[in-house]
Amino acid sequence: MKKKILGLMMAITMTASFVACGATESAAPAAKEETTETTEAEEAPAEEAEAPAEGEVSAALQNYIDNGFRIGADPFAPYIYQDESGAWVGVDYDILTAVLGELGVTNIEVKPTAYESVILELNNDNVDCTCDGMYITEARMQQGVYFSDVIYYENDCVLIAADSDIAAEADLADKKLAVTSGSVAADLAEAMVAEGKVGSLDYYTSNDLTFAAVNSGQADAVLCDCFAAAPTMADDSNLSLKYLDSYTPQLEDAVAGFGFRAADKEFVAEFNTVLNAMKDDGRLQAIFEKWNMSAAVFCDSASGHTVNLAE
Amino acid sequence: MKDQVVFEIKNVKKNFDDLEVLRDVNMEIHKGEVVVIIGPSGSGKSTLLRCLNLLETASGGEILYNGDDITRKDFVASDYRKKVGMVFQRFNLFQNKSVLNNVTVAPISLNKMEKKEAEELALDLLDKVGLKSFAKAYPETLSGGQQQRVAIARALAMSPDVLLFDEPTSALDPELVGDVLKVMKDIADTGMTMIVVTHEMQFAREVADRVIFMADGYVAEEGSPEEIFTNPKNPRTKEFLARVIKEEA
Amino acid sequence: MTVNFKEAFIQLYPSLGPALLTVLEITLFAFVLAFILGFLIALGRLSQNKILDRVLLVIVEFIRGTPLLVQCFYIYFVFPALFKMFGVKVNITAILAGVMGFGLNYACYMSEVIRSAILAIDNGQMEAGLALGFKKSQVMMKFIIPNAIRNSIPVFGNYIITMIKDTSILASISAAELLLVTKNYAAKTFQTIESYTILALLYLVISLPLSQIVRSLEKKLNRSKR
Repeated sequence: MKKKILGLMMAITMTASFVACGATESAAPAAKEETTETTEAEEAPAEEAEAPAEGEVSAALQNYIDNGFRIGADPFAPYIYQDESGAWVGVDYDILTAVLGELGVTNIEVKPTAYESVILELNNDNVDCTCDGMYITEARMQQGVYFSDVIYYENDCVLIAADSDIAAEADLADKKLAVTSGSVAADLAEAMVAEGKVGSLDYYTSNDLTFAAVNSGQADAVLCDCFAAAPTMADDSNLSLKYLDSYTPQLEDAVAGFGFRAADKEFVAEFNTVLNAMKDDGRLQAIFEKWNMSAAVFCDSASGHTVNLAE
Repeated sequence: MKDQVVFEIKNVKKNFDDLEVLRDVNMEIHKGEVVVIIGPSGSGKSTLLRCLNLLETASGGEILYNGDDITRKDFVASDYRKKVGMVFQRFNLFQNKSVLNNVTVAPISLNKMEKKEAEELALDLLDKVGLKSFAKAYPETLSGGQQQRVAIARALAMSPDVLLFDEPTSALDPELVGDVLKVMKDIADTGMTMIVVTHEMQFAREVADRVIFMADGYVAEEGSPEEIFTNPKNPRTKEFLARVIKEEA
Repeated sequence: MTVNFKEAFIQLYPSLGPALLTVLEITLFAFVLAFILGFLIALGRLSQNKILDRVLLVIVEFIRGTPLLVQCFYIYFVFPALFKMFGVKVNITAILAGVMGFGLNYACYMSEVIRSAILAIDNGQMEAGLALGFKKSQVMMKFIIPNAIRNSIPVFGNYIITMIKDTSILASISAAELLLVTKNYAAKTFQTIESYTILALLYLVISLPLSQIVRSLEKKLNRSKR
């Protein structure tokens, strides 16, 4: 059990540093495009939804059905990582296997890949997709990544003690907030202090310590990335924390998708069809719930269409 | 007054575990007397001296000081020691105190003497031992002979009734011994009761009223310097003196 | 990659000042606490009371056997959490936790320094004091302990230097000391090279003169011991 918590904490720490990098790279244009293209997005699934139903699949999908699919992942909880028994688990893993499974791809392999080289590996045809909450950005598209529709928002959330008297965002005005030094949340929190929305700020060197600070009463709330919070909310029964549900995320623009090759364009369309169906019938939300994600990460099918460069 | 007995030592024994250092020591020390104890090393003479000021506790026998048994359990050593000064082989000056403060600390703390008065007394005593100009110096800057003279001044500052000297010149370079012995002789001349453990036979011959020869934890022989040095009766005394005098020559 | 020390220094400087004060504040109070506690532990362990000696030894070994960071975590996170479980709200600031953690931890090491310094004092000092009519405790307080402490000054000096550098671990419990402030800046600007170089130099600027002072004190003491 101890090992588990330790591993978890390490994972949180790593997640935090990754999220921090990702966020700074997040490009506003990508998000804007996506909202303007909403109307087109509605048409797309309608046309393509028939393809798998007819039993006629793209060459790429047929290849994956026949020869297997390779996920390129730098293992981090809660995205994709190995549990104690060595089996691959995680929110990304669950979504990928659910969608691929419905497409008929059952032979799925995870290839651990350093995050900074995963795009290179994708282009070199050594892996078939990226995950790990990669932000959908134009810069990455220019590097050859063809993104799926939005998988989730990578937004921020506020955690408070389970017995906290904080009920609304306004209650934070005289409270002490804990943030991880160098995180995007830290930048947000600094702005909140400057605007008088938060009383004061304490910096910690890792996410797990911010949670511990609230748990022991050293701070009143944590502002952090939803994905950093998820494993904590899931596994650690000793931490009696809860989401501040009324908090409005400030990082709405940070959207993440799975990255594929532009050559697999048709396969990505097939993938998106299943994905959006899962969004519409609640299966995706169920996965988020399973991983104790804040409800704010969900992006519905209508607003989640990605416009890739090639389109 | 010389007949007044200061110390009456009766059947004193001392052993350290299995080692018997004092087997059966008996002696009397009279007021104003200078007694020099000589003897080979291991004879128990230093141990006897340390039993006299209770740095060691006698394993048996009685030590009466002015008729009072100092070996009894409820005896208050600290008050007694104010009256019985001791000078050590290795001086043992307080390293963190100046020469002046080494001399004044006990009178001020223990005799409640005014600081000014104590300093006057100390300077007077330092003058007597020839070290007035070193009052502000620290012990570590002094030679062994100088340190020993300060130690004597320190003991004198408590105006003791008895002074015990435990081989006061043994740790000194030969050329420094003379100054210390001269100071001791001066004190002897004031009529102070002194018990001196030493290897300085010349001093014993010149200053002692009585010489005690100890061997193997006993008093082997005692008498006037004249008797001991010119006509020793005990063969052990003869042997010891022959050896020591040969060494001195 | 361009390196701009001037810009980094100008931007870092305003936050390094208060952070340095925090470091010095923690070090000062923690050292005073460590000295007092260390002294008391040393006296307790030297006392005739064997039970007291044993108990203190266990405490000392326990604290010396656990890392300083863990102790600081314990004070900062665990104690308030424990109190909270019983419905008591205690407020231990990061600085206070640092002072307590460092004070306790260093007290254990310093108690051993003081204890061995006392034991190293020549027994002749005790005998001389007793022979003059002082009581044992008086000799300890007047002669032996002052000497022992004087002899320990260089070691204490080294402990202060180590302590100043060790305060960086308090970044983990949100004490706004030098490392945390630098980390915040580096994370924002990605001027990693500049930030941490400036930080390292700052620590050096503080510790080098102190080491020099300690060394000259050592020399002085060695000379006087001869």
